[in-house]
Amino acid sequence: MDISYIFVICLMALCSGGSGFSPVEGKQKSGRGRGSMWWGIAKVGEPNNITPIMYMDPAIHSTLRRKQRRLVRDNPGVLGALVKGANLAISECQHQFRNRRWNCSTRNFSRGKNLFGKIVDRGCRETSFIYAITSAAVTHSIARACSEGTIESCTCDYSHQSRSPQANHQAGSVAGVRDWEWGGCSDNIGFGFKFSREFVDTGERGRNLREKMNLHNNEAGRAHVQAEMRQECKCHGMSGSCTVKTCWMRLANFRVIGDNLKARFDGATRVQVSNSLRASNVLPGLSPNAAGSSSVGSNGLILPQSVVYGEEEERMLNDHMPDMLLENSHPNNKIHHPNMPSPNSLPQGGQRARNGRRQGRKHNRYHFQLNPHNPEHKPPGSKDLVYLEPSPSFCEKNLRHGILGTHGRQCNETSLGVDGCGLMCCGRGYRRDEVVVVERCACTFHWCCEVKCKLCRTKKVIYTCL
Amino acid sequence: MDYQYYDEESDYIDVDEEELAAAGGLDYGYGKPLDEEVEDYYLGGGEDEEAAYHNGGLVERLPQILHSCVKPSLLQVLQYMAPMLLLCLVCRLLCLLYARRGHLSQNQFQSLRMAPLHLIHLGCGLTLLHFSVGYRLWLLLLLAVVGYLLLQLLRLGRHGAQLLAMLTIGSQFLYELLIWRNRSDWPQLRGIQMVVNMKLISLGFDLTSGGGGNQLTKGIPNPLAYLGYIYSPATCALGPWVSYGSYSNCLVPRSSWLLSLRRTVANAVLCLLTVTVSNCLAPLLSDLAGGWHFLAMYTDALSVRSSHYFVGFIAQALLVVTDQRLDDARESELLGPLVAQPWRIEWPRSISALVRSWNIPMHEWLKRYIYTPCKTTGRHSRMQGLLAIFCTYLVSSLLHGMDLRIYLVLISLAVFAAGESLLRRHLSSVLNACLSANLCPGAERCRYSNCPSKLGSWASVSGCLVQLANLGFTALAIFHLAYLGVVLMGDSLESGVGTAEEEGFLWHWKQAGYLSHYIGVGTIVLYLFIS
Repeated sequence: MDISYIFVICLMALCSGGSGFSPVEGKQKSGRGRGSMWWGIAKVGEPNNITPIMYMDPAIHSTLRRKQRRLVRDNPGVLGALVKGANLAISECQHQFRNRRWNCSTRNFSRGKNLFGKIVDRGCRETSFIYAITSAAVTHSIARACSEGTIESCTCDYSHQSRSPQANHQAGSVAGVRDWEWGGCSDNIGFGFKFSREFVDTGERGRNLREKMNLHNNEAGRAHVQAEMRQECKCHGMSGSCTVKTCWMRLANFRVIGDNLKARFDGATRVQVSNSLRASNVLPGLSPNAAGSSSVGSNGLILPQSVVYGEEEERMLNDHMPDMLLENSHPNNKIHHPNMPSPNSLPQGGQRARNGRRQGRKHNRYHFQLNPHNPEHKPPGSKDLVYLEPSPSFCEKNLRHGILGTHGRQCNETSLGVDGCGLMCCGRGYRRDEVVVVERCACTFHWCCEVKCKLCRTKKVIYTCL
Repeated sequence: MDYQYYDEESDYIDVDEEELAAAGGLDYGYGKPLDEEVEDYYLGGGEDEEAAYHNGGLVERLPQILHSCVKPSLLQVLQYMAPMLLLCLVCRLLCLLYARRGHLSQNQFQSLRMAPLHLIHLGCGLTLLHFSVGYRLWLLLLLAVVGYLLLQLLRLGRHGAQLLAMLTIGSQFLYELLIWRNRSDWPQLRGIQMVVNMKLISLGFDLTSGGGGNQLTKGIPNPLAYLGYIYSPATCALGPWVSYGSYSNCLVPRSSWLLSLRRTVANAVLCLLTVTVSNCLAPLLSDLAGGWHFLAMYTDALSVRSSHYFVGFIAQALLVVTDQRLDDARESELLGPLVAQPWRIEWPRSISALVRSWNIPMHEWLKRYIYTPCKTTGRHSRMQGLLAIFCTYLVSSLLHGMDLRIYLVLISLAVFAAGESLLRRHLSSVLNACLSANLCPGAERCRYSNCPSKLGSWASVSGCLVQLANLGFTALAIFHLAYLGVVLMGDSLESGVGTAEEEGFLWHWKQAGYLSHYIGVGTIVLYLFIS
């Protein structure tokens, strides 16, 4: 009863929008779910609902943090996109993991609980994917909503119009090129990116390793969205010449981003040690890990990457899209090579100086480097996913860790992969059922715009894990 | 810093246990109900919805396309078109004002009193070009000066004109080689320079031919008149070619304002419509076509075709605004002078008819300056015809600059068109039916007895057969058109990310198994077989 009392108090504090967090709440939520409660809005409002979802809705109110509520209030129309984005993330996650033991199940959402369950409490691969995909989905849906005009505070991104794509290559061509500029209503990735940072990263302050992991994965999700942004152009002119050219930017289908993130999930890096460069007054020698474990990479390895982070951020904030389309376009990324530690002497000094300048400008929580658990692996790049601990087997139900187990899951008898009955059921065996399935079949298209189908009954064999 | 993490972990395991206890007491919904929900998710086929979301039906994607493609495209096209139309209007007004004040009569060409008119045209044209190509205008002016120097070759007589033509085309190659490095420059200038070259060559032949009939254009025009002709606002940016004769005939606009307004609006509306089809609708249809390769090819080619119509409609609008007439007398009541006839291209009678309607002024130019002279110089009648066709296509390819794709397409077109028209001519004379590549001129003048226009379209069996045969040829032409057009797709797209399709422009042909080429060669073989 005592606990529940505290819980209710917490809720009241949240609902009233009171200043700051009570120490009790701070204690309770520390470590993991800090920035992830907003996922709950996926279950609050229906995404297809045309009527605007009010931010005063108590259910929404309770899932959002104070800063997030402010963001939603200040940007009318953003809430619908957020709900859409959260649902997009869930459906994409469930699509990507449909054949795995952990199938991205969401729990019966209730206040104060995490949407994806307690798996989020562990810093495992699956968690890293959840963070990345949710952050990516928010970036994506906000950017798209921007270009669709449903968010009032952002309009079509006309920042491209003042610049010619060739301007970098030819010194003389900057002035007076009118119709070669690309403009128009691009998906406003800049706004989506910034908003996602503000909104998604609210709770992650990068103070401990887990928060750094979350930050890194959030950033990775956004980086994937940004990398998948495409420019589409068309030329018109006499016989294929290019007298008139029209261009616009398009965000890729979210499935592509989901696929890319899944690939990164498969090759995710386990990280171990955090080195904060944000606190510039912390001397390397005093850093506890330097004294503790000797296996971690030297600071010489760390610094270039941190500069890459800084540069990358600057580019993102400047909306300099063409460069973003090319990964590793920045020369610093070439310095940062897995097997090539940068020389400790000169470049480091220069980079440190630049780093310092940047810190003077802005307090930055994105300045950090995560080191791989296995020192022989290369450090994670900005688009890689990182995790802290190995994943559980997900075989048996473990409520303590929010694992549902694979009991009762369907499996594929013929497959040798993770969806095969052998792996999926963890060797417990499986049951064979014959089911009559009623489905729509022999669909025909009638002009115009009506599809008529028959109902067919087919026998299907279903295998279920014991 | 890392110890903090482990510190916190222990902390949060504690909390975890607390929460677990709480879950037992307060929030029991974690065990059984949750399982059901998960089952729900797993079996409940959220997948279908998802697929629908991602693949997207036409209806679903239309609003999205409308917003992300149609709006920006139209906006950019309007931004491009409005100043051009305005400049042409200014040009027309100034010319009209000058003509009113100066009481010009029509037979005062070459006189100094015409100079201001040329100047007006030149000024408007240069402003328009500056708006369109920016600083590259200087390059164009330089090329124009070179052209004027080349024009002095005409003092040599008829051979001078031929030399001029060769040098002009040769110099185009030279520029292309020189400017090729700046790839962004040339595709934009190519179309403009192509029109300039056509004007230059036509001027050369016009001035040296004795039987041109137009005695006024004897003697090389002065530089101002030359530049006014080359950079007349109606034709400098997007073509089409007009002869010097018709340029100077139309220096003083005569049409009524109301007619011009009506035609401009019609052209502008069609232009916006076609650019929408080209940019947004055709790619959408191409996406939806999915599996069927011919449909994908057709819609991709549709994008290319409608892009061409778009350019044609802009050009027509500009022509109407400046009241510039074309050499070809064909004029539609609604649209004014015609550059392209989309309806004849989308539903062609034959490939050669299609080629003729593709760019009417260019066709006229080729016919007048390349095809007819080639034909009259040859000796054997059949070889002569083939040679003339070959010559025409050669010059036409060379005019387009160095583009392998255009060479391939044009050569294929030449072969297909020649084969088809030979076969159809032979068939029509053998069967005494209206099967030839050109439409029968009407019931009275048709040479053949089995003609739908004589018999009534579907009234008799033979009429039906003739109609069906012609329909078949039309379908074949549509297929050829899709097959050839798709190669020109994706011209000079310089997206940041290299797309997979760029691996070879012949991909579509390979995918279709070079079917069209087999058919094309097949028609020729068939013709040789039966003749």
